[in-house]
Amino acid sequence: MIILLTGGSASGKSGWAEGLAAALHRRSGGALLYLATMAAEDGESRRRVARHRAQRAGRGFLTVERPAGLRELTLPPGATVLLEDLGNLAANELYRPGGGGAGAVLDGLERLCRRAANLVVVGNEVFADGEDWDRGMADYLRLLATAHAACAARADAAGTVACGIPLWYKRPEGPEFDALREEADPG
Amino acid sequence: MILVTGGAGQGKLSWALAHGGYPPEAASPRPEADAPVLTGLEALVGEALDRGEDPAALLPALLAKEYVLCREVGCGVVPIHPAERRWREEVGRLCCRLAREAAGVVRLWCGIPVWLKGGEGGCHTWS
Repeated sequence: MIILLTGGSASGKSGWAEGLAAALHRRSGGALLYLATMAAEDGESRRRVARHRAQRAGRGFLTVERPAGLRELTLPPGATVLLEDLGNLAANELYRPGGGGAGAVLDGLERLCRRAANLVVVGNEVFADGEDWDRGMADYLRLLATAHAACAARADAAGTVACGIPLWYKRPEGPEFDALREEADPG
Repeated sequence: MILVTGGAGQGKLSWALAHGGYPPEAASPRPEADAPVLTGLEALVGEALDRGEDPAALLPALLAKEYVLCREVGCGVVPIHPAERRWREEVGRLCCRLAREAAGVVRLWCGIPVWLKGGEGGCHTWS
């Protein structure tokens, strides 16, 4: 199953994404991988990484730091993958030295969709501040929106989290998804 | 308490007053005011951070209200200034905590209430 979950800053999206990935892994077995895209290079991002690590602790994730280069990533067969998050991945591929640009983001995402048994992708709602951004930022926003849309098109379920509660824009019919959602609720 | 969120100008106050059957005077931006509708929680969080206080100290006063209105501020490009990032995150976290305690959570979009939690007939509900 492929799930896209977006949200704004501190919306509670990570807790849900972790819960969903863990619940999918309980059904399918195999490896449970957390693909971390944030490059922790300053105090604030290190604190952010530490908070997310504490939140994931005990859930059985194997953390793989992968700020870029998803096209070249080899996954074990049958893996459940949580990719967090598209916003950082897009920034790293566009702006870091050696980054692969938009193609690396979209092709990398496509590869993950094909190779992972289950994939949960965290996206970022950054499109609603009404600012008239310069070319560089506009390119970034367009890439991120394109990646969101590509992922949503492939996804079995796609939604956005606000106040710690997901709204599903797309979801499979039937009780299996309801059960998965209930199990994933971080409370 | 019903938590009412949504972007700027989406109809949070109009909806809360109509839903509660209140006149405009029932709304106040001050938590200590004897008013059932609190507006602008995002500004109160900013004031608390400016004073060096934990915004979670607002919780008891917020839970005593009938409606708490908070602009959704975390859905734009991540700000360059650390204080602005902190403010957005503290607003988001406080809303997650309030949502857990709230009887209902409503997000206004183009004047349309979308119930995230609780809710009743006649309004759009997604799950």
